[in-house]
Amino acid sequence: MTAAARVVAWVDDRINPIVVKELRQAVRSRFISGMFLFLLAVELLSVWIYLMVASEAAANLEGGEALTGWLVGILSFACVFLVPAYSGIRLAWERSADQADLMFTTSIRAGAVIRGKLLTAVILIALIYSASAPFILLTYLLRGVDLPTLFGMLAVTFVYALWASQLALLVGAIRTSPVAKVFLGLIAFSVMVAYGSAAQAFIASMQYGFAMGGGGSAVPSLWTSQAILAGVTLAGTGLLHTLSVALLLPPSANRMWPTRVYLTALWMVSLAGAFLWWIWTGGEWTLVVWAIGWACLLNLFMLVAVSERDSWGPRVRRYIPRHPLLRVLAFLAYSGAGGGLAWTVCLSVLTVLAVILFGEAYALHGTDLEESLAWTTGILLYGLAYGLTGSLVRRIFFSGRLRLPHYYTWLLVLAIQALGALVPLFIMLLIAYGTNDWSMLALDAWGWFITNPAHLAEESGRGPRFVLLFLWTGGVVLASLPWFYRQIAAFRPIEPRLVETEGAATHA
Amino acid sequence: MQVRVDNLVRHFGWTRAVDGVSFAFESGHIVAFVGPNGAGKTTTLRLLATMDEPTAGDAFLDGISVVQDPEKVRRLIGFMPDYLPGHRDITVHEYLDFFARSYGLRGAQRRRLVEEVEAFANLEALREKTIRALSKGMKQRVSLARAVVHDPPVLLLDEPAAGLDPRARVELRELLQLLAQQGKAILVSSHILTELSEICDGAIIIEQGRVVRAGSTEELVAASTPRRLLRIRSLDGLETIHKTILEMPGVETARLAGPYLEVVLDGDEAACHRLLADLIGRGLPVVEFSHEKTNLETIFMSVTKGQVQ
Repeated sequence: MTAAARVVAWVDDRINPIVVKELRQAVRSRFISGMFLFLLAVELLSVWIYLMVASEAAANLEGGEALTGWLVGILSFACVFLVPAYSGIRLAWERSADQADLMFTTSIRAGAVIRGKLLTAVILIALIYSASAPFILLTYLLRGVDLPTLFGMLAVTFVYALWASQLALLVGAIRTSPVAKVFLGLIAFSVMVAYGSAAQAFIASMQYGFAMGGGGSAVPSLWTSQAILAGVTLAGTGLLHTLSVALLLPPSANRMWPTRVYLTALWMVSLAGAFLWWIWTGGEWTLVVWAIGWACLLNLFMLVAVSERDSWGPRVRRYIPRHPLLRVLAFLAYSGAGGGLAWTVCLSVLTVLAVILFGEAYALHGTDLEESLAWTTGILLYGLAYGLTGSLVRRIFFSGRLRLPHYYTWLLVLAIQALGALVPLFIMLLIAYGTNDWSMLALDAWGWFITNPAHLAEESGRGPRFVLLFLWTGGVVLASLPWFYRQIAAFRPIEPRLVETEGAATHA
Repeated sequence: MQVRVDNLVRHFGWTRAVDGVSFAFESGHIVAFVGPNGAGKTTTLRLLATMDEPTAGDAFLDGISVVQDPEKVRRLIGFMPDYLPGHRDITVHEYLDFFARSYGLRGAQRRRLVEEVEAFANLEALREKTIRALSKGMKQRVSLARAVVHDPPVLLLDEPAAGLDPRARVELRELLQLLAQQGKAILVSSHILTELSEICDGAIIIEQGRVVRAGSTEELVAASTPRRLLRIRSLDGLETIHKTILEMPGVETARLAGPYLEVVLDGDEAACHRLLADLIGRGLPVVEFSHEKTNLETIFMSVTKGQVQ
């Protein structure tokens, strides 16, 4: 065997098996072949029509600009919609046909499956890029576009396509009925479009200095804003990746551990990033966005936490550390409702503390940061209050004959939240109808119903309402303490056991 | 390699799919895992294959826990589920190569093992065909080849003969016997009991999540049929034998049925031997002495009630 053959064999042995399989299947796929042929045909036709019809534009040394936009648009469509759709549908089919289950009887890990699928999507995107390269290079020759802009557009498209592929894999990893998958796919498609539009709006607003009232030195350049967006998108891709892995793991596994570790690291990195940005530009809006963004994200993970299981199986317990300190950290990060709630509360408190500390240390009183503190605290308190209320209701009323599985707690929480938000409005509507006093429908009139989070928008009387909100949260926390204590007590490593018990089994 | 299942329990809500199942089997043996639909066979196999976690109990492969060390167990087990591979756009060879890679097999070893299982399952002519284009029997062979591609010492086969034509069943039976001769411990769940009777060394009969009978084939036969129906034919008339045999120990009844004397004997094979020796010793001209064989199907029908949860 030659040295080159040895290197090839070495590489071949170390390639993710999923990548090998997926690429072999992609080569035979009619969808992939059709997509490439269609893409090349449309690009060729576009260039030909443009050069034939818009000959003046081609001659004025700016012809490349319009054609670049068109070609990158075609490229984006293929990379951001078609490749993710292909990856997501393939994974969804494998999940429905139980093929993924069979993978778990092998040594391959869930992380490797998702990484392999994502890497395959990246390779397909790279192939589309290389197929489009001659056409895009032509636009440079037509002038009107510079190389950095061209590479910048391609890089942003690539990051967006990566994120979209990971989102599609997340949806594909959800084990549900085909109808529900189609519905989830449409939601994912809407999210992709919404995020793409928001990203473009963000870049435009950053470019023209309209972002969050920040102006002057707070306005970053086009490249900086694109770099921020790329960073946020990559961070989101990482989060979607850990969630996809969690969905692929069996319910008995320690599903949430990678996600919580990732989110904790992301919380620290993003705080440092927001702080440095604030130091650099002087605009406190980055801290405002950071705080409210994390409050919303933590609210989402509060819903996840209350829907997790109350007990740990041997596959999780065998990894529980014996050292008390490590066990505390493991309790926060491992799968489990109690630990998940504790982790969310810890990060929530740290988020609020970070805002308070920055406000105090840099005397940011009366700024947007101070207002954001009320919003951040309010959102987090509502998340905790509703989450714990839903969890409490499930344990008290839906654990006997009328049983609601723990993984549906989030639905119960959302239902209670909807009731809490809408019932006050209906009551006031009835009163207003009865008294013919329509001013009763103003936010400050019914904002006292603290169950409705909308009153966060009302500044007057915010203090007393927060006291009521604290009392509600404190009440459900106190009521949940015995359950929480039981969770901590049950979080113990598995004891080594004697495996051979003569006579325990019947020999066949 | 010994597989020991120790008080395995799996609940789905209020349903006890597996309710304290215990049994054991060893290398070189084929053990039938039989029971009515919904008895808990597939759930038990999924638990052994580490695809699910038991509510309680455990199973061990030479002392390695399925619950605590699923990663180690996966290398030791080959699992053939009750559904067929459905991959599109992938050939038989690529499919087997993928699973070999997934088990961490590398280089020449991987190529050798894949070629060996292709030869073993008689798939050499089909290796470049896509799986979708195969017949059900061929897909079953691919599925079996996939289960053994990493040369595991334990095989768990869930309904491997379902939907196969008679020829394919015979081929499958031969493959299983070959694997048992190679020293593998094989647990086969199947409804086709007549097929299993001929190749299995033992059986585990399960109903409503509980083991109702387990043991070697001989033990099961002995336990389920304490009485044996013997057929005796003589060189001359049967009257002498008829009179004599009724006085012998263990003989409950005897009646003439055409050219045969049908005798109900309360005893095992040793008692049959003693009875025959006694008849020959008395100089009676016995030319045919046989007893009705009890197969797995008979035992299954006698110990199960066909109840589901």
